[in-house]
This record gives sequence, C-alpha cells and structure tokens, in this order.
Amino acid sequence: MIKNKRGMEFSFAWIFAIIVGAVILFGAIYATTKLAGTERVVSGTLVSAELNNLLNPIETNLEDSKYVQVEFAEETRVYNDCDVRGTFGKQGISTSAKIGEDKWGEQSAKKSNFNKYLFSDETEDGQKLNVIIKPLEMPYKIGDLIFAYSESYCFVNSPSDIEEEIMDLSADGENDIDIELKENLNECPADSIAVCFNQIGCDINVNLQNDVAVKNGEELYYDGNLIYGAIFADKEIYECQIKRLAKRSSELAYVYAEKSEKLRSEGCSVSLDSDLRSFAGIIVNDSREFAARFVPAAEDIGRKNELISKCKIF
Amino acid sequence: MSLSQNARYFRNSKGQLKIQQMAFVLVATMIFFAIVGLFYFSIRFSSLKEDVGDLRRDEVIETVRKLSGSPEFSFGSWEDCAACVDFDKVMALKERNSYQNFWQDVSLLQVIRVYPEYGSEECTAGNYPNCNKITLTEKEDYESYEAFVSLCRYDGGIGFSRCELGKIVMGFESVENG
Repeated sequence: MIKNKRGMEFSFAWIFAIIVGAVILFGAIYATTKLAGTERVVSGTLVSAELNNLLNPIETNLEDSKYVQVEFAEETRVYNDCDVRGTFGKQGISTSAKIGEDKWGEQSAKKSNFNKYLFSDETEDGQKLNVIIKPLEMPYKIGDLIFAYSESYCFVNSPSDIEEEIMDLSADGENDIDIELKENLNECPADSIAVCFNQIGCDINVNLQNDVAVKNGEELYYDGNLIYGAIFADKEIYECQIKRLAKRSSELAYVYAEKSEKLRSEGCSVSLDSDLRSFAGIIVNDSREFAARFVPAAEDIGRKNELISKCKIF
Repeated sequence: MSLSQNARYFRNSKGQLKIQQMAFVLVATMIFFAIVGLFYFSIRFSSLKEDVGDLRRDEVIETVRKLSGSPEFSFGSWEDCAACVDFDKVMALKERNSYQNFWQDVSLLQVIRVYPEYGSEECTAGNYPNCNKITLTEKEDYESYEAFVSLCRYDGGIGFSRCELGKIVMGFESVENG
C-alpha cells in the first residue's frame, strides 16, 4: 500500500546529535542559572560580613553614644536573627539584594557573633541603614546595644534628655538621622512612625513613669538606654536580646566574683563575691521580669560597689 | 563475499565510523567544558579565599583595637581610661570554660605584659600576678595583630591600682587552614 517512500532521511546520527545537544544545552542553562544564584548568595554573604565588621569599630569605649549611617550599593534587606540558645545566645546577620520590583534574592549565609546585640525589626529594607550605638551598664558594662532602623521616625513630646541625645547624634540637625522631634502628633509626616512619650495615639506609646513602651498592643519593658531598643525593635527581637544580655551579665558576674576573691587575697576588706554569684543566678524570661527582678538587683550591687573606697570591683 | 554483501558491509562500517566520530566530538566537547569549568572555579575560589582572608583580617584588626573597651577586658575602676585592661578579670576569664569560643574565628588571643617582665612566662593560679602572659585561645597557624594597652590591677602592697605596659595579641586562622 505504502509505495511512496520519499521523505527526509533522519538517521541515527541526527537523532543522537539532537538528543545529546539538547542535554548539553539544558545542562549549560541550568548550570548558568545555578551559578548566578550562587554568585548572588556569595556577594550577599560578603556584604553581611562587611556589615558585621562595620559594626565592630563603632562599639563604644568612653563614648556615651555613636551614630553611623551604613549605605549599601543597592537596595538591601538586612535580616536580624537572634538566637537565645547557648551560654551567650547568638546574633546572626545576613542580607539579600533586591532583584525585582517586590522580589528579594536568596538570603546570604549568616554571620554570627556572641557579643553583638542588634535591636531592629526582623528585616530592615533599604539602601541606607541608620545605626545608633549605646552601652548598657547594669551595674557594670554588659555590652554595646546596636539600634538599627531604615524607616523614618517622629518623636512626639520627647523628654529633654532624649531630645538632647538626638540633637547631639544629628550634630544639631546637620546629619539626617531620620528622627524628627515634634511637639504634636499632627506635625509628624504621614509616612513616618510616630512615637509618643507620656501620651497615647501614636504607633508606639512610651510611658516614662512605668518604663514601658506599647507597640501593636504589646508591652515592652525597658530601663535606661534600652528605651531605644523598645522603640526600634520587634517584640520577638527585643525579648530575645534582653534574655541574651541577662545571660552575658550572668557570665560577667561570675568573672567579677572571681576578681572580688582575688582582691580579698590582696587585702581588700569589702567583698561582693557572694552578692555577685546570687546576681548571676537570676534567670530572666522576658522584659517584664528583667525590669522587675534584674534591674533592682543590679542597682543594689552598683550601690554596694560605690561604697568601696579603694579597691572597687567594677 | 558477494558484491551486494560487500556494499552492505562498507555502508555499515561507514555508519559506525560516523557514530564513533560523533562520540569522540561529544567527549571532546564535554572535556572542553569541564576544563573551562575547572578554570573558572579555580579563579573564582582563589578570589573568594582572598575576600574571606581580607574580611577575617579586617575583623581581627578592628576587634583588637577595641578589645580593651569590651566588658570582659575593660578596667572599670577608672572610667576615663579607654586603653586600660583589667589583668585580674582576664585571669578570671582564662579560668572560665564558657568563654572558650566567645571570640569566633580567632585562633590566638593573648594578653602579654611588656614591661616590667617577670620570671615566669604563662600565668597560672599558682604564679599570678608574677607572670607575663595570659593565653585565652591558641590554635595552630595564625596571622596575628597587636595593640598596646595598659594592664591594670589593684596592688594590695601599695594600696592602689597599678598599671603596666602590655599588649593584646589577636590572630585569625588563615583561609588555607580554615
């Protein structure tokens, strides 16, 4: 029946070449896509490590506070990862770059540290990141608190010490630190996050009498410089960092207790080692416990240390 | 062998030769891509190693400069001394296991008394404070950096705190070993 055998000759060699060619082509495309993704992760990881290094020299020595503005080459998302497990807990920093209108690239590898405390939202997006650093002393220096934010804030009716601090950090308005100081809420720009002091109606309301900031209906208890942490950080991050700081304080208390014992052998009559060891035993589960138990105990030890004339422990 | 059998034989062997040729070309192509890939990765990884080395070096240089201000090292009795290290606290740190891995990626961390020097080298519970060196971490193969500081401690003999010249030495693990 089929007599017409005319047609294109499609030999085995052709079929073989097409199949193998297709495999090579798809393999090459797949490898290129994967490589591009890996390159993005590598470059993000380098940015995370650089950011982590950048946060080192800005730690405080004798200074009360410091401000730096970190500028990225492109729109960057900074991930703040706080892990409370272990002796000191861990601070993880990673980044990803923007690759589309609303799309972020793969998260870079995490750079971890035991001695950093970054108070921010879980992710901070933008091409610049404002960073304020302040030490935490309770009663001795526990660490440097790093407050990072990429959005604009408007402080309403802020107390004079915070006002002075913000003016100092912005070099009397010369630097744009993205914090505006206003008398009334309606003077705040619409796109900024409003923070009210001793009044309500803002995104964040700070009660200076009770040392508590209310944010999204949740209470964050603070003391001293931690007020900025309560303002700039997510609740989960804030609570995690508070627990980490309490752990570091506990380890330092043991170090000071041993120092106190050494001083006694040097002829120092006043000793705080038993007080410091019981202070080290205070377990903090959240900021409320921190304010209620940890802070008064720290103040008590601080007072006792002040009474020592020659051989102060800290 | 007849003429038609001969023709079929030559046609078959010609076809096999073509397939062999193609297989050789494919193998050569794969080898070429593999060599190009290896070349790319060797260059990429060497620059990546350099980047990691630079970042570790930067981290150590910045940390060693600021370490005297960290809570574990600072001499808190004098509030106006940024470069004063509390020798008593560093000795207490040495005795605490929890601080073993506190400074990550650091292969060497030592506090050394430069002047005056005492007889024994490494400090122990037995010879402290008449010793010169407290080693908090020491692993093999490192590149180290130093920062000069004042080593301070309360001296019961004179009834005051005394400070002596010292240095903090910090080293990072080189990338080839890390």
